[in-house]
Amino acid sequence: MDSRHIVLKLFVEELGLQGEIDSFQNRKNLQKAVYLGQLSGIDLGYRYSWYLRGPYSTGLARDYYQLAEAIRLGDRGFESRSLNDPVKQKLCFIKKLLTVPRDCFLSTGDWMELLASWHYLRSVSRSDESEARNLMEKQKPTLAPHIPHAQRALLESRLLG
Amino acid sequence: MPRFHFRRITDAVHGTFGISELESDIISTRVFQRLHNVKQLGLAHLIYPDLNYSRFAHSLGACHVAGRMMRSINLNSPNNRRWDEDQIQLYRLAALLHDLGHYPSSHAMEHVVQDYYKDQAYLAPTSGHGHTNGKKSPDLQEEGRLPPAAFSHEALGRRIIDLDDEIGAVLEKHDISRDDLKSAFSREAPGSLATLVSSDLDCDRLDYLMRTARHAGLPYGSVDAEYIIGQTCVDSDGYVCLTDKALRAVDHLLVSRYFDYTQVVFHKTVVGLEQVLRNVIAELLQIGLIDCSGQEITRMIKEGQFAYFDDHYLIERLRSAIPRLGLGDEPLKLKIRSVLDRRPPKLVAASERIRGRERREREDHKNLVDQMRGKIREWACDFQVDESLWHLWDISLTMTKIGSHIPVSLAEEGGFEDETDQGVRILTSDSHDPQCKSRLLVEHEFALANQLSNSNLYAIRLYVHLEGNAERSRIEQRIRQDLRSPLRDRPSSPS
Repeated sequence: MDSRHIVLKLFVEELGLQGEIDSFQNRKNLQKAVYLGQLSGIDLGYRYSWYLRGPYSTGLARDYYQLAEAIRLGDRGFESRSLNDPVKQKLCFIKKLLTVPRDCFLSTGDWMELLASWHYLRSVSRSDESEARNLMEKQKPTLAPHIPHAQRALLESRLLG
Repeated sequence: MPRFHFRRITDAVHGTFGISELESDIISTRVFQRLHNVKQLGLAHLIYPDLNYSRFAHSLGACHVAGRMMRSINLNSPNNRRWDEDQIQLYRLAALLHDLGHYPSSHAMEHVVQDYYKDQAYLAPTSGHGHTNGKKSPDLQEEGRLPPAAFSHEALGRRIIDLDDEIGAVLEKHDISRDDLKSAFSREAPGSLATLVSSDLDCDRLDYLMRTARHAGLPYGSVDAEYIIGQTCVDSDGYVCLTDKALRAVDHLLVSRYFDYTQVVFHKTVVGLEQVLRNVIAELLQIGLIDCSGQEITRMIKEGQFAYFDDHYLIERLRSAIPRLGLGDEPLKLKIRSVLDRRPPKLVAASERIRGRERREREDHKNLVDQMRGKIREWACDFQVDESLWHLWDISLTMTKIGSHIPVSLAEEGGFEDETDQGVRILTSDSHDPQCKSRLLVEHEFALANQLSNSNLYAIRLYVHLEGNAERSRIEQRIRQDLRSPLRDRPSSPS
């Protein structure tokens, strides 16, 4: 198994995901988790673009399809490896961010989509708050009411200026 | 003077076409001139002598095609979906710069570098995966946010735009922000037309196929580009698509892409030499004779040295490595000379077949790969050829896919991955209808792409560095005897 696939597998496991991609929801969760994980400063080199369901990386999709196929056909090359301690410590910080706040009634998958989308629009697309909110209300009407939770969580984590 | 005729370029593929002052200024920067010395197809020129065109020529061609596609969109779309000259300039520029971050020898180096540095930076060392070049891995806690362990070529292109002084000065002169430019070719802003630059039917692929066919002397990539470009439009959802008149032409383009892979990229000697080069780069990274970490590349950009990070840089590193290697490094020296002197390894076993994409077929393929890999040590010992001089290559290529890798089955399931919007789309109504919609090409039952989507090309090859042909016959015979799965024949490569 290639090292970049091993790193990806261990990275998402450290964030609490199993790395499964058998359903659309799992693939979406993996996309958003890696986006948020990279905010820790552990830059795996995946670059994201804006798609219908928020930030999405084609390079990441290529790697997780290859990883899933390798595992499906019996490659266990990741089992003898582990992330080093500095990486684990940084991801521990992001893992806390992935926990849905008690007063926010979203699934973990939706929470990650909200966090990643709001961060992307504000930081990468450089939309102002009003533009970003309008887009969210148009494209993600079920998530838009929870934007204040995402804004608070990202500010408290110093991931938004 | 018309904006896009500031300078004229005479090109082997597109004839004479114009570029703007901004584009002229960009191509004059040192980091863009670097692309003169980065071959589009790595070592393929060692087999097809004229297939040595540069990423510089290809980037200019892609810029021209992007501009023509935008003009077609304006002709074929209702008034409310037309693009002004500034927007056309932005997408032409995105196409011009799409390959800015390619490594020397293109993909061969990029993949090895990614694997090596990700292992070094993020994984705990084990007995078999130590940090052997004596360099301390970056302390993530101390240094905060670092560049990636190694750049992909896309990320590297963005970093160059961020950091290169000359590019910055040109953008400032023309009042374009670095962020706007990156946004255009990275699809960072919602509603952008980035699929024009990066999708199954983009300016990159069109120019690549035409240019490769022209320079290889093979007819397989001779796509009907003129017609395809002329039928480009945008549907009411903002998807770049083609009118239904272009369906056959684009079906042909996708088949051309398959033949380009099998006849050029997967040519037996091209693959053999590329495998050796990857192996050599991996070993030179391991012993510290090449440094392409994210930090080092960033330093090179900041200090103006990146302009020399090209194919010549790599060849010089290979040449200068030989005298620095010791007596125990004879296999590595032999492999370096194999690349420098064009002494490809011999193909001693091969299997190639087109089969369904079912799990059983994929497992058969994997089993044969595993069998070969497991036997190499024994064969190396019996034939007294160092184990590091054997190169196993395998590929499982989806004949039609969406984007760079999304299985067509996802589209059929209806559980769309976002990337499926990179697939080729065909309009289902008149392009001037304000409510016109499009569907993926592979969803049309009369499209050849629909049928091919159920098939894979499975290929395995084993190469070994040998002096004479006598040993080769004995090795071939032994491999056939030892493998439980029979090897299937493969067609000969052209030339």
